[in-house]
Amino acid sequence: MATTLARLSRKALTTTSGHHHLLRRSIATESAAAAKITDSPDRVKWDYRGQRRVIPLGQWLPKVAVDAYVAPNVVLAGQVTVCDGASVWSGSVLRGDLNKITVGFCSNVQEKCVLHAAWSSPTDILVFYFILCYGYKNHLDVRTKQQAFLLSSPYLKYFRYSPEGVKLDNVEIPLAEPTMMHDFAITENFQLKQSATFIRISGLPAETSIERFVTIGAYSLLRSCTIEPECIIGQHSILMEGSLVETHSIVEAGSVVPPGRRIPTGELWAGNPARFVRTLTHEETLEIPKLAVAINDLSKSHFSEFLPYSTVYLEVEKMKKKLGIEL
Amino acid sequence: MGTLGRAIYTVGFWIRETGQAMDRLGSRLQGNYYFKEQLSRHRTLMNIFDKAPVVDKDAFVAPSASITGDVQVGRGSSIWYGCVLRGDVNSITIGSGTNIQDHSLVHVAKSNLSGKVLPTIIGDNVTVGHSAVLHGCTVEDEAFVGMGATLLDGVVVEKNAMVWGGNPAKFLRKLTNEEMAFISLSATNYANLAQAHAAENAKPLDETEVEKVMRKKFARRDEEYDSMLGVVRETPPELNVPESIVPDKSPKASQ
Repeated sequence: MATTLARLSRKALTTTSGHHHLLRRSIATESAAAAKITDSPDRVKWDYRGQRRVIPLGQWLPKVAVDAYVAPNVVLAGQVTVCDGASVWSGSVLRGDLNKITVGFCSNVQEKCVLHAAWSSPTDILVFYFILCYGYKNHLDVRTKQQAFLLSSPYLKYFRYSPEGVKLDNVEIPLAEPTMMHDFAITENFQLKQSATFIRISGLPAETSIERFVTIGAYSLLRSCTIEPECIIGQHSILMEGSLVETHSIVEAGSVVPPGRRIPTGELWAGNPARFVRTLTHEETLEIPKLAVAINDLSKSHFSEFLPYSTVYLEVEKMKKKLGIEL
Repeated sequence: MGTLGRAIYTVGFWIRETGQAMDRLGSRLQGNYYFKEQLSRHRTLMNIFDKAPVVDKDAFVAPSASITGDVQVGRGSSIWYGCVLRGDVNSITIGSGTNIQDHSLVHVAKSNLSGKVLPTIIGDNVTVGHSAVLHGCTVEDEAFVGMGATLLDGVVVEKNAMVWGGNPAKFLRKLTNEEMAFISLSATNYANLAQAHAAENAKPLDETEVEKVMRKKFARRDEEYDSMLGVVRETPPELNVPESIVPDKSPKASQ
């Protein structure tokens, strides 16, 4: 009775799958017809160990500090160093297979981030065809023997350095009143030209290094970037190759920092591509390491939920006993 | 071995039983807040009734990836950590030599605003960057999808065409020849990298334990300290990075 039932069900299943295959063949796309996929019968479909947390590649072993909290479904592969007090939260992937990844003291990499490092940084980022410089007229104040800004026109001038390093003439900018110039950035309507003579900017390190007290928000992607101490990177942000985030700066959530972009000290940048928003006040700057320390405290309570060694071996022994595999 | 060995073995067993009994006592004390660790039930390849994934034997599928339903993965492709490829309502076809990098999501929807349901087709030698979201789109051979990109229904990414970016995506510029060459190079690099990861992830428990012991033996020899002293130590060949990871080309382009 049972065997006839088994035979019937097997026949039913095979016919449905047979029909399915025929149907698929008739509306086959080019790829389905062309590619012959040879399936391997011993491909592991389920491994009782799940995904290992620490994956050594060759002689590179990911190093985790003893009091760092690394969630169980994080993947650390290759050259990864997680320093003291740091935390890497659920679902993150830190892939140091091509280059080093370092998470500094008391930093945290939140949920589902992907940190990767490229093999080498692009060394021929073309920045300027000429270097543009803005300047103010200043003179030596005879009375106080100090440099002072002469508040007379022209208030602003610019000059250029040619690719060979020669300073070209000053060009004065006609302005009605004294003006201060801040950092300017290339945002839109500019094109970076490639030419025979250009100034090479030496490449930033290709490894991803996150210094101390940095908070990397959830779901961000970091690739070959350098993040100096005490920064906050917002959630879902993307930092591309060679970008540098200097100390005490905040990158807002959802921003995309293009390759080679430097985010100066003490500033708030946001947007896609990341643009300058405002400078940070001193109080905000003091908050940054406090946030990192707060998350460190939180990670300690998560850390204490895990025993130093897993008790899954009991389940494995039970399973082996049931299946008759010897212990 | 003799009686002493036997005695030590038995004492070892007693200590283990004591430990387990104490573990049980501790769990009792924890009462309602007691946690019990389960074996991981995550299945890398899972079929939904009759739709089974067909993955080539040379493809690397990370253990934390999930491939469910009607998915075909071709030769030499790699699906990296944390990816989710859900072919439950329609088919997903991935060509050979493609890499779907960490954390991406490839999916098809059942209902679409315009009413069409498209299969997702990803060609050969495609590079799909980290955390990309591909939903019912067609990506032709040797195309490049950047990190964090979101491609919705009906999108067609052609090869060797242009660079689009922004939200919503706008045409930025055309691809230079150098970039086209770099894209095809990156796919090969990733295939090599995938082999190294595949070898590492496929190691059974015994091998990983042996390697752990070996590493502990060599652990006290710090590289930097050695280089300061001018000592060159040999690492055993099993602990060396496979040559194929190192890109042959001079480090001009990244990745």
